[in-house]
Amino acid sequence: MKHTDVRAILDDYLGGTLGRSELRALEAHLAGCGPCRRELQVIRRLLSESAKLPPSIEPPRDLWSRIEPRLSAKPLSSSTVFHRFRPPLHLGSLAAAASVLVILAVSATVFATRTRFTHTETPVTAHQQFVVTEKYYVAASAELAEAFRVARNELSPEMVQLIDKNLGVIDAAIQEIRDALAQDPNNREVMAMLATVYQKKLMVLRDVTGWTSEL
Amino acid sequence: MIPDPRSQPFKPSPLLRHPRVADEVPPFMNALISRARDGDKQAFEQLYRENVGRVYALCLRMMGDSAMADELTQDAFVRAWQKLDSFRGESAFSSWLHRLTVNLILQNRRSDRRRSSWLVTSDDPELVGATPTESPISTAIDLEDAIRRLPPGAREVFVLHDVEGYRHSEIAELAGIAPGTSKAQLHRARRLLRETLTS
Repeated sequence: MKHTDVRAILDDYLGGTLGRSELRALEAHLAGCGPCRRELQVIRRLLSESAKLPPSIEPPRDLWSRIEPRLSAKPLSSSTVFHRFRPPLHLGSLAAAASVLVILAVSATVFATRTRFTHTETPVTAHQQFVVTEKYYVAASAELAEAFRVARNELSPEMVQLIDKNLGVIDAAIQEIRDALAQDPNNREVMAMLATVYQKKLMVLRDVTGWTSEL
Repeated sequence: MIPDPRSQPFKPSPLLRHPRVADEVPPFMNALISRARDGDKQAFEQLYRENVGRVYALCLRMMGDSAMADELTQDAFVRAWQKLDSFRGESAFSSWLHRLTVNLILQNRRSDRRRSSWLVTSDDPELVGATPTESPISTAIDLEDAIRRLPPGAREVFVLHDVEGYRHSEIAELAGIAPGTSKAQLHRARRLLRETLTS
């Protein structure tokens, strides 16, 4: 056995995972090789010193004052957030969001394509339809936004920053379109545009809460 | 005759710090956990006081940077609070918290680049050991310093395996690497530490 071969398997030797034949060959080499025996001694010493390292080191400052404000009022219980995040339970809110996405997609199409009112349809009816659609969006969005708020700690600060930035852009767009709709409440094109942006926001929230559930 | 290591298996620590070792849970700890689950932050603060040293030591050794250790220790306790309901008492709270912290550290390593620029990532032992030691593997402080200066991957595996007592298969699972990679990193870490501490 060469020195390099021996040194490559010293870790396995110390871990007790060498096969019988390798063990015999190694021991035969060690018996006649001072440098490899010294190498083994040094590793043993290193392991011994590592085992003596204190298991506990007090932080240089008290961290509780920084932790306490970050704690929610009550730890998240399995009946609340974990139902949203763990795969079998999480599916509920994601499925609800998926339903709303379908509603929004259909609404966006309907509002965009039927730009003229028929004799059976009044502007009030169109607006009422939109209000109902919007209610679904608000409920689904709030649920997913809460799930994301709770799960923020599971993502890196850079990722959270990026998601917040994207959500900020979408929220700004929503506000702008809502302002336009307030000026012209029966404008179907604006309704379609708003439904599309709502859809985008739900998709972002759905995706990010989906990621955190996988972590 | 060289003693067969299998007859005297290496134990990472006489203090049973391996997280899989279920230590005795004092009754008052169960009461604290129960109160904390109900939202009692004072009870959780006591759990924090009982465990912060161990969590901080793990973060400090794994990250090699006190500012990062400070931040990750805070994150670990916030996450523990959030996930307290999932603690089933099948292991000691400290073991559960330890595992949660390891996961957090490894996720952090995978997901972001908050790594201090001064960290040595070279295999060059000259760079790994900035301060020569006077005697072979002299003091715990030298060893802590040498661990801190290891390349990140080697450092994490060394701390988990040789200090905390995890097996390669467990490290591989936690870190999302192959067991062979874990072994290679450990070999690298031990070699660098030997070179540093015996120079």
